[in-house]
Amino acid sequence: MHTLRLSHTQPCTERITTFCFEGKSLPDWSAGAHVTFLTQAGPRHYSLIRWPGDQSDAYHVAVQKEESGAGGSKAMHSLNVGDTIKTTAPKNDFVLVDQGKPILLLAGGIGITPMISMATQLLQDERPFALHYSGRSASSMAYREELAQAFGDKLTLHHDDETPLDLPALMAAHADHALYICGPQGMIAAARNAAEAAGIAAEHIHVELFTNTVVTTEDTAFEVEIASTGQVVTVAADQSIVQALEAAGIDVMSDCQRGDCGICQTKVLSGIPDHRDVVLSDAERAANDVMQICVSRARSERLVLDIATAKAPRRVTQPSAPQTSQADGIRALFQGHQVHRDVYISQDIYRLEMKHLFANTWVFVGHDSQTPNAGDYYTTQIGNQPVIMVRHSDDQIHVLLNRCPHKGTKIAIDRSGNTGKFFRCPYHAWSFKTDGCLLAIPLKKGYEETGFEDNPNVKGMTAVGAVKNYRGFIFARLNTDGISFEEYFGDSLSTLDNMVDRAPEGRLEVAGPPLRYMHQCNWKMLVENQTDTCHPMVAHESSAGTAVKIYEQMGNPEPRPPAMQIIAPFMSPYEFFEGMGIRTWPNGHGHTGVNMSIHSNYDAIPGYFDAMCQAYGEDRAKAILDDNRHNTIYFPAIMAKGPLQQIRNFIPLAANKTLVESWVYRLVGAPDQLVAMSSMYNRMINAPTSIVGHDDLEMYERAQEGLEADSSDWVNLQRLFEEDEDYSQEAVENGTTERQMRNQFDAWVKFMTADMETAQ
Amino acid sequence: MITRDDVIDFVYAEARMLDEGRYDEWLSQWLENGIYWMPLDYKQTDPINATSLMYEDMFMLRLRVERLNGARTFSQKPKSRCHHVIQRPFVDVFEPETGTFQTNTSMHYVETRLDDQILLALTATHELQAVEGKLRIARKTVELLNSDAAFGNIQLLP
Repeated sequence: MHTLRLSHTQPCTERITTFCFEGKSLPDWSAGAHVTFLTQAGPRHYSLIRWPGDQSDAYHVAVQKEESGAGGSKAMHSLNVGDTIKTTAPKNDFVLVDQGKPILLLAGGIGITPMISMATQLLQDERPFALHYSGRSASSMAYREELAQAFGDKLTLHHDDETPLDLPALMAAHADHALYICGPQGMIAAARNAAEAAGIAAEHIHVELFTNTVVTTEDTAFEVEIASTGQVVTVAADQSIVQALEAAGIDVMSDCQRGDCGICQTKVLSGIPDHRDVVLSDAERAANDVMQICVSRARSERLVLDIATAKAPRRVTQPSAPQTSQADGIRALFQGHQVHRDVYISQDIYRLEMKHLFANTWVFVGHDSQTPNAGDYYTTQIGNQPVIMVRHSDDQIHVLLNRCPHKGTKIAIDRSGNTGKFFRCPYHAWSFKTDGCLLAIPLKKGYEETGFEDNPNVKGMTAVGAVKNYRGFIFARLNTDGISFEEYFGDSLSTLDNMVDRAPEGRLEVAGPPLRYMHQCNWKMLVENQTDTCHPMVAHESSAGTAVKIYEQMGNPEPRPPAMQIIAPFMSPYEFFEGMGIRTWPNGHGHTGVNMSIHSNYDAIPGYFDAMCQAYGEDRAKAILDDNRHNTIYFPAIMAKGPLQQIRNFIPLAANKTLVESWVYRLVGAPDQLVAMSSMYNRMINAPTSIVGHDDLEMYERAQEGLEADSSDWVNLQRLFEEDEDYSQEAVENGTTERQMRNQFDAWVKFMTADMETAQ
Repeated sequence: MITRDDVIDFVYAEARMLDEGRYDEWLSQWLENGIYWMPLDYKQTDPINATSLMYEDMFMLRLRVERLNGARTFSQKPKSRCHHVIQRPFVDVFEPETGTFQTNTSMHYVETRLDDQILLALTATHELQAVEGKLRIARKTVELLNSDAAFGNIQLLP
């Protein structure tokens, strides 16, 4: 705060007077700066004037007496020489920057004041510029003679009664200039439009409003046009823009309704807002390209608004350190018939998997029925990356990394919920739209002139590189660049198709939360086990074999106990599994149960086949239900069971730690017994309380510990191995082959190294 | 006539059978159509059409017990041990005339094998029926306090 003393005044025109103030150790300022005078009528901003050759540190401003104004200009005019007045330090929201272009200064009326200082600066710097000054009449324009004397042929005067300003012609003639405009709002808007029409880019157009905010006593109606659709909505005198838009069914974001939170901030493409908020800085206010639509209104008859066009940042491919041997090192771990034990036990390999494999591949996230309504979210992980799956207001599912760009706080921690129209970080209240875009930051003014606007790391919650909703199943690829969803999965999508087609209404809904089963082993052991057809009759003898024994002791009663349908087939002999067959697809996908499977012999459920025939016709219904694939691996880390509508998601938490989530889905339109069957299978086989699961986990954990033994570096994958196996081609083989495990490691190498620098 | 003490003592005795591994005796405490239910979701109401941790009939419970005795039950080499600490049961239903009883019991259940030990806090609901003067389990519902947490193996019976 400074105290200025009025040292002298100089009338310029009938209404405009120059005021010269002096004070103690006044701060220096740059061209374009203004000072806020605390007049009796409230704060008023006036641009500082500096003429060529002026070395004094006095502050010169020009004030035009506004008879209809709120009294600020009258208060200034009533000052007498010797009076003192408080002011702020000079502030510059209208900085003259060097954009490597000649400068066009355009002033209207009293807006000439900052232009005088700018022209003085440009003259001193010997930079090319032109000054155009426009007013209603020659006699109303201050400093005509002084300007001509100071700036000579760089000055062009326009006045409406003799040589009116032709904005299109002016802009066309200066299309290669950077433009600075100060003047009445209508003139600024017209000049901006003309400049844009002439091809001057927005970043080369700089504006300052010199009028102070007008206090309107009575609001009037105006129109708002939605730029993207052309829809026009009338905002009644007693209505806010938010209220009018919502009444018209247009989804907008808002919170405080007082103009202080910044959440409803909206881009203004044309028209002049009447700012009523307390969020915007003076420069933002003057620029008129954003507004708070909960309180602010319009000065022009129509505003054209840009509702929600910003894009959240995307996770970018992270280049590896320039270690040219890294890809070769990865390749050396897989030899076709065997794989190095480090892929299971090395935490370094695990980290590389998270950075490369899980970023280059399409990884399962969830099902869209988990988030049926806008704002519904579900939190999970893609590899080691915490993510939020959320349904945005446009009904699309977005997948965002679950981290506030500010301090790193996880934005959502519930496994599921509804966030409304935006996420709000619980730490410092940064808020984000449900597509990740930064919405608002409290006290945003504190980031002005800090370089914040240009910092790419604070633009919002980062979205994953790509998201695909395939018939309700949500997959994401972390990296922005990479293989397309269709190419990655190819014909393997037939299992998901079959799973969904089994619903008479052709869609699934999630049936409750998943089983969550923690495994102290590497995630790939679980993935490999899904197509390992030589383990059930061995590892599961204690459950499946005992079930068969008890059933025989009971005298084979009918109907069979449910456990006999579900658990007993695990005891099938090797020949059965050989006959099941295994199919492998490119990119690591594959399934057991080509010809039939342990799921083929379930009891029919009354009413289901009829419902299917009604939906699809008998032939198609039979074709769908005759496909009884066992386990389908969608590389890297899920298994889908079509006949039972299950997904098991193997989430890698560390080299030796994997969380298995086992989901079941309801076939929409099918009898409840179907989901009861899937739920029963899930608890009997996949639960931490399952007598089948117990023995699987025992095997994995023994392997995780056993692999530490130094007998060899290699884990064998040689069953039915052929030297010339081509994993880029679909193949069907004997059901006991380990080809699918080899296929997975072929894909593992491919997608581990896809974004690594390669040695020659 | 069944007394309140009989009902409470039954719940204690059942836990002791499990802790001492007297499984054949434990199985004999059940009605032939008895059900052991352990929900997956906190406050789950539907055991059938959504996944539970357990929803087991007598065939499954017999299979569980028989498996524990098997020679090739790898996850039980070595065997797990368990331990119940139970609070005095509330007797919520006491109808000696119809032989229908229900208790609500808070428990801490500990299970251990090799170097690992887990502790589960739970509430058990016993629905009991008197048959020829003896109490039998019609339904036992075990609600784990953290049923929605990720577990490793839970191999014996809380």
